[in-house]
Amino acid sequence: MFDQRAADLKNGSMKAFEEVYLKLLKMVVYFAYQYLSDMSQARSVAHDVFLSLWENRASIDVEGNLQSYILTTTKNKCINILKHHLLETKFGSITERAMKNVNYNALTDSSADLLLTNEFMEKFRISLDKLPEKTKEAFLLSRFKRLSYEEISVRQSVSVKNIEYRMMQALKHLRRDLIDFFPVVLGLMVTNLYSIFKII
Amino acid sequence: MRKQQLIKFIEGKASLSEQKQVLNWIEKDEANSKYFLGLKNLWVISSLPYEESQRDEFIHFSSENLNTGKNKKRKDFSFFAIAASLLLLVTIGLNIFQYYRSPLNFRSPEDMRPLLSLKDRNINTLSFYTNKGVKGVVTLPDSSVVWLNSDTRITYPERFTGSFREVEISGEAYFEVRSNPDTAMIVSTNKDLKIEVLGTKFLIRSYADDNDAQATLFSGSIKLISPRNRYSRGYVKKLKPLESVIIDKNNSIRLIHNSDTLKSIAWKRGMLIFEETPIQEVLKELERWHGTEFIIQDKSILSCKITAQFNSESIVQIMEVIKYCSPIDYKIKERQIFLSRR
Repeated sequence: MFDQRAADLKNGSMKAFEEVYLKLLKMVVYFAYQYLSDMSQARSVAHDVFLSLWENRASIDVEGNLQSYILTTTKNKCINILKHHLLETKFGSITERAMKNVNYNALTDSSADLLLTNEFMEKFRISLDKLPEKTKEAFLLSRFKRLSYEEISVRQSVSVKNIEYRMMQALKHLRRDLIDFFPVVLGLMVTNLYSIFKII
Repeated sequence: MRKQQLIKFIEGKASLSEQKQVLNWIEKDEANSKYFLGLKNLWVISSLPYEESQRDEFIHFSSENLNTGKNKKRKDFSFFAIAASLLLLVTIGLNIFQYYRSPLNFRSPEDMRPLLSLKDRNINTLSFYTNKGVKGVVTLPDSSVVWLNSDTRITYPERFTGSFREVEISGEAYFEVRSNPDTAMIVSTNKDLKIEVLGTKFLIRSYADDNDAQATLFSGSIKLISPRNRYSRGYVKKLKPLESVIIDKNNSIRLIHNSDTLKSIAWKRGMLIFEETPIQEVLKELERWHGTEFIIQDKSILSCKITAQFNSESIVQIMEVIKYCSPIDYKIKERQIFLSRR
């Protein structure tokens, strides 16, 4: 899978870098925030990540997936920050420390590496793209915009029952695709994914 | 443990007691922990936003960090650049010459300065600023702790390298420096005052809009370094505990033995203490503390002195006390306070 934009970026194209930056900035900030629980720190991580992407553009793998590469860099930066906090700070409540510890463990857990692989990201995106237009829209509205089924049904001017059906279809489809992809190891986790989708 | 509860926790919507429940559950069992970590990662990855950012975000980023595209402009300045670097070389040469010429090899205060300033190094520097009305605590990379009073900026490298730990302060800060005999910490201020420490507790006060700067030592020992300039000879001064030094804008110094240390770090405990303090200083303090602005309508009140103690009172309560114990009257309009004589 050859990525033209990654190749342009590797050759020092500012235009390509800008595209990547605008496309992934929110994602990187969001990712870092989920583990650092500190918006200004998350922003500064994002800043470092893109700066190092530009500085190390020569070593970009054009066959890989930029998103996965960038998120892996983000993950590593977050690990460093949390490690530092845990080692050096004696302040903050026990709960705060425990939270940081959990987030540190999550990032260093093997599941993080698995989920950040090119393959999973690609598969997730492709699987989503294969959904019928309206179903995909309903799914994205529910997942990413956090709209309720009622709100989506108003937007798409169909009944709530209809939205429920669309969501079911989307989840079944994703589940089938992703289970397909990770035959044994991730079976358990994909069921989790399913249950997450079911709740939200 | 129900999944909904875990999801609520991951989303950051759980209450403190729910957080504790989940944390306990995670710690109870290896399998629980493994399950939770997978769930958390999966949740994050599958909820990544795919929204694009506004173009100005990139313009901002690139203008601050990337210098391609500006090369053309740079060339216009190449003459100055060469001239500047020649001058720099000559200066460095002269300095080295002088250094070796001096018989005792005594390091003058100027030489005590780190060879490179923070900005020249290729290390990210971090900078924090406490707004007026806000205080803060910062832990430095070497685990020294710094308490910042309002309207204070601290700048330091992401990690300390080299033979000095360099920190810059503008405002008022209380340091508890982690002892390390090998690398001294150098705290520089916006005034002509630097402090070299190995591991101590001290207070530094150097607001840009104050005429003087003050350093107070609580325990251990510190060295004050004031570089030579047009007005004064440089000097190095060692402080003993409970000594305090005030340096005015002409760089003349005043030493105070048995300084009232409790009073000078009252702000750290959220207290404001005034003892026969001129009203102008009181107002400056209150402006920093509460982020308000004072407008003096009658200059004759400037001769007033205030003695009072406040402990997290609101600005209105403080003004009532001042009104009670001095001939000053006040009117509050939004963030401005107008002062007049009663």
